Amino acid sequence: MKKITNLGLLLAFGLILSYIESLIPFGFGIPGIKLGLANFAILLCLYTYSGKDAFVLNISRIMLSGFLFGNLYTIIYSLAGGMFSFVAMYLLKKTDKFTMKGTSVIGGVFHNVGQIIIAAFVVSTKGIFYFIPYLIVAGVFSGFIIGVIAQQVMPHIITLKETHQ
Amino acid sequence: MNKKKRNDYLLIASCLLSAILLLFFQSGFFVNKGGEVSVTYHSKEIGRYSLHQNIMIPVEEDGAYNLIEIVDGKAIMKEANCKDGQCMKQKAISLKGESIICLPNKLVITVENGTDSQLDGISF
Repeated sequence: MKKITNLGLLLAFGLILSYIESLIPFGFGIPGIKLGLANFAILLCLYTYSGKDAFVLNISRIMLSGFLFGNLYTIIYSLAGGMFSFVAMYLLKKTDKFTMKGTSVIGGVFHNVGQIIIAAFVVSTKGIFYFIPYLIVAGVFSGFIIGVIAQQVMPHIITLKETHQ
Repeated sequence: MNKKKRNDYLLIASCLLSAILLLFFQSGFFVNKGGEVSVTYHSKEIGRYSLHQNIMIPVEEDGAYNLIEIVDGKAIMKEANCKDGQCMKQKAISLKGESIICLPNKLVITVENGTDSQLDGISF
């Protein structure tokens, strides 16, 4: 039961981050660039609970934030970005060779790259791939910052989880 | 733990390196000046315009409005009614292969070969 409550809290946290993200103009004229703040919640879930929980959390977060703050197209983009980043983070965590920072960075990079691949399908232009290097760099930076914060927060989350059980 | 940290930085370095390599790789592509722009809406071409002229091209397609301006051999998105307005922030394009993309309106402007110099126009 405690787990459901905690997952609900993480989902609410992810939704708030999605909302904050929708308020911050962070585009630099490049389609597909996102801060990827909501990755924070997914990252915490991935490290406190299982990959399956993080997956369900990710899908629910994208659907809810898409209907609340976006439209069908933003859902498609977020879903693509979310899935790409989730699979990448999950596999990287499974290798157990990286810290949360590395996982977060790969999540940020794949989030942006996944979105641009879908965008390339939607507008069917190869020209959009021109933006990929910038998107990788943006993903590394946002992923790194989120990773650093997550590493600081993580010990507290673990204590919370254990004391309440 | 230290090994993991080292792996993190290796990962970050390789990501940045691949971005730089891609950028170099691309800069090899985007060097030739293009002669005309192709405008596509919902992946159908709706017009071609020479870059050797100064014109304003309004595009109005069911609800989508974009104004493209060609000036000094460069094309920019002057106005757009899309929600995010990202297309208006993209830089002017003039090199072959460069493009401006308005995702919400699904409008793409791409620089293409066309007539590379105005000489072709009179040499036939």
